[in-house]
Amino acid sequence: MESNNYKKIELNPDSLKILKSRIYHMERENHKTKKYKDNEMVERIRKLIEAEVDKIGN
Amino acid sequence: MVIKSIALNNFRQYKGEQPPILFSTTKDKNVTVILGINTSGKTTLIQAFKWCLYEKANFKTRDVLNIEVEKAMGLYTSQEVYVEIVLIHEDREFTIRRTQKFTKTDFDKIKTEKSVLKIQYKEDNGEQQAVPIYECDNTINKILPEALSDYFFFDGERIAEINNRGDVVAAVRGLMGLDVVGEAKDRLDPNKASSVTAKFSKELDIGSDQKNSKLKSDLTDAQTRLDTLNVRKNRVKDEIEYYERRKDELSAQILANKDEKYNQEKKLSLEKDIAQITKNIDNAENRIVKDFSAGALKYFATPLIHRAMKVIDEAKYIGEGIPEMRSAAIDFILKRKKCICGCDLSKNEGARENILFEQSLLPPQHLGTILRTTKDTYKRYLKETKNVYHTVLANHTEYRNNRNYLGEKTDELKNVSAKIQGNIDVAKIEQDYQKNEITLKGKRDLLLKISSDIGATEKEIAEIEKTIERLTIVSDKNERLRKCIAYAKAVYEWLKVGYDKQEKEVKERLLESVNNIFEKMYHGKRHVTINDRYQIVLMTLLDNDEVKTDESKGLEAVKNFSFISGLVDLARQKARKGNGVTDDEDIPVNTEPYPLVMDAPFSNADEIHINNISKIIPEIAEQVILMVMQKDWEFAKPALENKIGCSYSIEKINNSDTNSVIRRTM
Repeated sequence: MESNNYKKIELNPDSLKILKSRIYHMERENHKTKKYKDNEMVERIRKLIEAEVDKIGN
Repeated sequence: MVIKSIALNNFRQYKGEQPPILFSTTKDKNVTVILGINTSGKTTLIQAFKWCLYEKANFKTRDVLNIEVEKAMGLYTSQEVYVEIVLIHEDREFTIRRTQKFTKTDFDKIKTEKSVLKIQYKEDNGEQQAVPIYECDNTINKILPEALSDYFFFDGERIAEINNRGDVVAAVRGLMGLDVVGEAKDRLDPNKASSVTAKFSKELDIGSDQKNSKLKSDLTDAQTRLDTLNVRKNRVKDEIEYYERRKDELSAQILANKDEKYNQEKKLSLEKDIAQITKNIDNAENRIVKDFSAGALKYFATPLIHRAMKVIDEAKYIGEGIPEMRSAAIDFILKRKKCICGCDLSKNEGARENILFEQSLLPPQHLGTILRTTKDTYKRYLKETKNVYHTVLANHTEYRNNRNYLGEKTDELKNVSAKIQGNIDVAKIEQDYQKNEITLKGKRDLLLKISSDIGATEKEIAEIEKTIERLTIVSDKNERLRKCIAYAKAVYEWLKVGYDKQEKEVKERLLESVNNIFEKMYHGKRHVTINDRYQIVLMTLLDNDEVKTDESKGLEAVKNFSFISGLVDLARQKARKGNGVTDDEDIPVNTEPYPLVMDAPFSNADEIHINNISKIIPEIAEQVILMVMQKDWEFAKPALENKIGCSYSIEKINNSDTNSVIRRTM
């Protein structure tokens, strides 16, 4: 079943700004401390994005 | 980061517990000078910083324990070495102490324990807090990453290497925070199989159709392939960088050894000539011996032969007898009474008498025949010795000429050999250069091929993604995932644009800083440019063309000093401007100051350059700590005098190389 019914996704500028800032800070902190491995960082960023998307609702 | 003090105990030349060296931390007088003669311990101080922070020191012997203390140790006694640095970082005071314990376990054996790093910091309420041991290295890394430390604690005598190090690119990126942006960008890159974006895409529900499911695995395959290609591309780029550096090194060596090359070629040619001349001499010698042995006796007998021939010519007995006939043969014929013609001699008296007459012409009855035969022999001798003199003379002339020639060439070889320095084989360097060129071309071709493959794979990924998008089933789950993907891609784009823009800006700003500083110290026609590897090159305008120029030691020092200063200036600009990846959405500002600790900064610089460098030093960093030779200080002092907050002098105790103290002089 093919679908072309999706609307173009409008990004919330505030959410995008928050994500940019949080992801950058997270990376900067980890760059200094080397606390998390690559896959752990991917997972953390993923959760951050999911949480922000869930916050603004579908 | 501003350094307040350093204290040493039994560290190398610094025997016993030394009073802390306090550094100037004021803005208007931001320079601390430590003066000392050679081997007094200036370099040791800079090594003390590196040892304390990173447990790294560049000493020939590994041990940091003072030699006099070590020798005085009794059996089973212990001594401690420590370096303690007090510094301010992000408005917080840190006390960092590294300690190492040494125990004498035998008469000639010292047990060295692992060094221990302890860090304490002052809370806002003034209370001291200890950093957990497992966090100490991370804390140091936060204050000043080790990779950057060489640019802030540097040895002037090794300044020439500073711009040619392989990690300059990484250092500049690290200094500007670009490495952080780079890592973040990679983790969100939709083209990477392990990225956040790719993980969201994999969860999209596109139906259970086998063909559709295959699309996802094709996408993962293409992304994995792209990852591998990018890794290969970076590796090949690194290799190209290495071979380009090698090319520059080899070119410089060939250029620097141009005279050496001429001399080495000349030496080879002379050695070849000498071998040939020696062979010619041997041949001439052999011919002289051979010709002399064969003709000398007859040649030296020539006057005698001439005299003998004269005597023979004057004799009246030139015989008419039958040559080679002997009287005994005639006696035989007469006795058998039969001539060789068959005539019976007993019956033919006339024939017998004729034979008797012939016998009378032969020796011993007649000498004439002997004389004639002897004369013929002499004539042959004279003919044979006719060329002996000229042949021997010609060979001897050749021998003498070659001997002289050999002498000249041997002297020349001696002179050329004396000019050849060390064991540099320029022909080998040229051979290496050619090999390097071939490898470099191969690597560049490979990079083109990989880049083309990357382009094709990216296109393939984009097409698969388009198809997946088209096939995505309308559902809440997919809607949420599409939103996540959209945000992930938007953050990725922001980072990518920011990264590219920042890198371009960093290069421009570094170039501007380096040129500004260079122009303040150098007033000639040259200026500097920066290549892709962040290496600076001196250029000059020649007939409207920019050409690379040679540099004197002094100018090289100024160039490299400009580079260091440019880097520090860049760090300060970053501090003022912040770490943001875009202008409109800056990420919080880092206002941290930077110290610059330099050992022998004026090494290799002449009087004028020392003065020029000194004028710039206080401007390039918030805090400057200089270890200077007394002789250089005479030229630097007038320019630096008003900026000095503290000064110290290192003194050798009893002129010993193993016991120094530092006394405050201002």
